[in-house]
Amino acid sequence: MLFNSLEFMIFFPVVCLIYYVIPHRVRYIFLLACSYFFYMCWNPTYALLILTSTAITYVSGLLISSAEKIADEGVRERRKKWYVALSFVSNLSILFFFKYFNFAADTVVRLLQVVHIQVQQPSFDVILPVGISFYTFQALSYTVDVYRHDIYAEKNFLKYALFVSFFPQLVAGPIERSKNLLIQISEKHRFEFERVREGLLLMLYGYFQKVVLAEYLATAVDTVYNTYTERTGFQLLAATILFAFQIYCDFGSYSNIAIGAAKVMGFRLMENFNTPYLSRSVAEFWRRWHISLSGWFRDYLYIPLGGSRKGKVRKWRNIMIVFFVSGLWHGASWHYVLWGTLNGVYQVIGEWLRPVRERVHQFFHVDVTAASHRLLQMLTTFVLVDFSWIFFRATLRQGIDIVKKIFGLTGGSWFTWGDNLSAMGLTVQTRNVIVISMGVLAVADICRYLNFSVIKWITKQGVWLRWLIYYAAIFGILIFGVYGPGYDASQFIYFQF
Amino acid sequence: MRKKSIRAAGCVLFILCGLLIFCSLSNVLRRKTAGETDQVHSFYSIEKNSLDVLFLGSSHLYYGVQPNVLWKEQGITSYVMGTPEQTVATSYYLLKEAFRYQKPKVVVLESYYLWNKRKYKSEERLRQAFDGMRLDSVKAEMLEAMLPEADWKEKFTYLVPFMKYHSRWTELENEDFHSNAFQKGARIDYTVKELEDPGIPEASSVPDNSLYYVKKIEELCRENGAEFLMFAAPFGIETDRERYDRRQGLNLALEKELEKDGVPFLFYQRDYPEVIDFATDFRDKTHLNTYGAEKLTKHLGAYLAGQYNLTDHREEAAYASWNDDLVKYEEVTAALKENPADTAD
Repeated sequence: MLFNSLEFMIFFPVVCLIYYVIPHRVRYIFLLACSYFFYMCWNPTYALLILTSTAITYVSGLLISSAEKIADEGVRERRKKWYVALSFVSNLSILFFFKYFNFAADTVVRLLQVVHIQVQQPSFDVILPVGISFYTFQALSYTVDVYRHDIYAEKNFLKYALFVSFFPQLVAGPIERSKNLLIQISEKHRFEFERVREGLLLMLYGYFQKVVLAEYLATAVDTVYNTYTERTGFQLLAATILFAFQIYCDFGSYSNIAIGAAKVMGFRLMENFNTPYLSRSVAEFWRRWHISLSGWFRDYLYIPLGGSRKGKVRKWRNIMIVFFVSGLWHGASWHYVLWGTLNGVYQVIGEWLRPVRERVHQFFHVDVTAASHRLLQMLTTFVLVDFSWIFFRATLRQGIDIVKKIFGLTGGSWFTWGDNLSAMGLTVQTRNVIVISMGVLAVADICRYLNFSVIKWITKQGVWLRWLIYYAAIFGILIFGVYGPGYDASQFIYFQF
Repeated sequence: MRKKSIRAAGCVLFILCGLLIFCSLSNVLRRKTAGETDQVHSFYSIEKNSLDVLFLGSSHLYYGVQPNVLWKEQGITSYVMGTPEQTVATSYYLLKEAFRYQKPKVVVLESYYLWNKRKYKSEERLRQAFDGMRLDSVKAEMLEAMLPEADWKEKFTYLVPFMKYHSRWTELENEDFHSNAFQKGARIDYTVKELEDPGIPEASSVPDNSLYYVKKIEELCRENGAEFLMFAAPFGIETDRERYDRRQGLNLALEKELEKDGVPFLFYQRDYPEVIDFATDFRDKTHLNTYGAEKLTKHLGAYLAGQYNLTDHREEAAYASWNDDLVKYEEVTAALKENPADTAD
């Protein structure tokens, strides 16, 4: 069940109500049941997969902690490493099979074709289980955390299972850490009005991002990208800029709804998006975008690879590996890999050119602390990131064509006078909704950037303004949101009979 | 403790105000069936238990009967519970709903749409009957009867029309805020289409399902102490002769069926050809215009006044609003007669 479904609108309030009524000692069992129900709404058999991952990592935790008792340090460390490896190999194998098998087979077949060997491609008709990349990573982090003594191995299987399957963040993050979420499962959560209200407001903002802004932006982006061959460079450029915000609102909304929903029930999930488009470098962007995933890669891949401790070249290699894998994590296709790699390349080149940039600054006496300079940095970062998004949205071949068109390399006119708005699938009215919503998004992000909490500000206002804002938000989303069976006026027009 | 109770009260108040706003918005955004008329929904604006006659039927009804004329001529209060392509099954449930609010002495069903054997014509037509209805047990029962197979999410969109119509904010018009309840479900149209009377064909048949619901309506009327009457408004050939013969011939078969139960049936095209002039009284090939509707209503009014024990309320103070509505009707029709194009769809 999706967050923006009617089912969830019923599911969530009911779960919360029961959660606060039943005694504390059974709450985690109840939440576990709810989480599995939530997940099984997609496909009941998926539950077996998540259960398998849960069981493997749970046992790995117990084995690692039992290995701690071995006196001989060498044997102990070897044993522990073994368990970690087993947990990783088995979990990643499941992930590989369900997400990457067909992609890998296709790639191998193509490579063989290059050397003129024809092979019949084996293909499995498996549907990608929802959220498998998210919960697999979350479960794996537990194995490492126990290994690193960041957390004690959890003995209560049901509590651990809830950590892996906690429904607010199960299918789209934030990818939680056991040292944050697992220990909260045993906490006693009271119904605190202020906290619940803040949670609900955050959810509301998430719904605004998803149902209003992301959906309208998607209309424009899809209209243009789906027929990119007939589009002018200008339209593609506009759609590419809009896509940056579409994907931000889409990803960001899920995280906000997840964090808000968890907050309503008393759980504190980690922040996942922190005003990414106000970053001044690509590296900073990745510290602000999908933080739980970047952090996962940092802690469980980049650092084990040696991080930045072993010289520049090793560091650059590690960055490239991380972003290559990150690309692959986002989707089993080469265009995601290119997107990830591009982001790695930006950072490597950025560091490589740092002395050059500093020289230029010195030569022209650039004040790097000036607002204008910071704005320029933000803009440059946005352009670089947005350029890479092209390959996130489109396949490799399409992406290359789109880039050519945007840069006017294909001939034909780059810009034509005429109704660009309706050509992009928008009307004056929907454009106005987008403009106003983008304004709301900008204000919210700038406030956040300046460490000003809009939600706290709202809750401190007088009742009339507070309620006005609540109602405006609720009914704004309900009216302007894109959901429901849809309405086609033309079907109703003929009412003679 | 005190703070907690204030908070709880605040939450309840917030939700109640929210529901109020939701219902108002829902009403504005809901698509108004037949535009300015807001069929079905304006039924609720009539004072409880003040109706003498309730009309049911499809477009042939709401283009063919004018409650304001009936009031002017006979002092009879009536409402046209018509919706586009209204099947008899739909009429049955709308009647059931109507009985919750009114105790009409006579229920009148127009026969044209009996030709359709299904429970409803299409999703849009079904929604046009549903949308104006209040959310109550009859609506839920109607939903179960009409869409037994639909999943709960689809059903939800019928019960809460907001789900379907929230995106109508792009096309709101004046009539979404002010519907013309004074028209009492009827439409006004002074377009003139010249026709010839195609005559009365041989008898055809009435679909079983339609007959089944006609009987159910008879029964429902009996239970509620109302008399039941049917009539057929005149119509011409819309597409081809064969279809016309089938649909017009249905009335002959229906007449026989109704005779068995002693239900009166007024077959205008055959029995009272002097009432309607095919040269001046149609708006298109099948629907009367308001000139025709006024004539037919006058005739029907005289019949109702003569056959049933209906009180003339024209001088009663409690019915003053009906006089006000009549004044409005006359103002509007006078203006529209000058510019018939304004009334055409």
